[in-house]
Amino acid sequence: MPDVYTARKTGEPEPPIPTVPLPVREEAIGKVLEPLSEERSPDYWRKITDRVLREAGESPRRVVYGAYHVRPRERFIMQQQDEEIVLLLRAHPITNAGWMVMVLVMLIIPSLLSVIGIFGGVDWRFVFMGKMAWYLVITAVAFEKFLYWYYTLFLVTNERLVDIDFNNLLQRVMTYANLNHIEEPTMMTGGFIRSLFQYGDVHITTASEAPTIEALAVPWPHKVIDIISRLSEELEKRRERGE
Amino acid sequence: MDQVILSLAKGFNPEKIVKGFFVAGLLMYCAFALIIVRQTGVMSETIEAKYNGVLRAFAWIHLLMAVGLVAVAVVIL
Repeated sequence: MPDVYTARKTGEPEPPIPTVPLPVREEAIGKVLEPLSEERSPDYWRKITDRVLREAGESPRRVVYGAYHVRPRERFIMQQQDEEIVLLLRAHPITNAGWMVMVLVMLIIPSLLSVIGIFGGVDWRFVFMGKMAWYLVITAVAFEKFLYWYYTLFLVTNERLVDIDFNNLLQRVMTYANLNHIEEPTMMTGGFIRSLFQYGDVHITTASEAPTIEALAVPWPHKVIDIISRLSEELEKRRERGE
Repeated sequence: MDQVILSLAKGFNPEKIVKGFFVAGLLMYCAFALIIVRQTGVMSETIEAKYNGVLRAFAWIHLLMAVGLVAVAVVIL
């Protein structure tokens, strides 16, 4: 029976660990490595994205007050080295009309109350401080609403979809879905205002942990879905080629 | 006991109480303004947008305005 284990006596030196020499490419010694093939160069996917956008009838542009931005130069948190934002989407600016009207009404209220004469018997110092505090609150309300709109984003990159939402003051929720995990992109438009301003919702069913990823009230949802579908196809082709 | 109540009634000044409420409310508002500054910082980390600097500056200006209003309330009320 062969010896599986041989006990080593105390004081004996440890046997050397056998090493397997790595094969050496004789032709590579002393030579400059060949450049990457075209499929693996950084410009390759930029050209693919150019082609996808061209076929979808899009070009780098920023319209609808930044709600629809093709090929933005911004970078987002946790963006990978070879990743590029193709589409940066926000809710259509018309969705801010509600709070803007509310802010305008709030601005007028102190003047209206002064005209009515409600502050007649009140010391001018308290009236002044009350008005200043009121205007400061209005500023905060308007600023908060703007921040929510500006930083609630839906990004389409050459590799994945990123949905960035802010639920409350300090809670940020980022949902990712790889383009090769998406299953059924659908869009939903309807209503007079949405038809007039051409915005709607995009819902994408995914095979990842987040079952559905959404872009709500984005401009031209049909274009968004077209670009997502084309990028997903390109990624699928890349996967079939084994890259 | 009656003397104590009388002395308290003589010292009672409704304006001071309203001033106290104003200052307390504005101090709480300063805490809220500080949260807005922090929130803007968190949001601007998410994406390197063009107007991040402007929005962060506006948040700080808002906080300074809140602090200034507290000082004005303490002085003029």
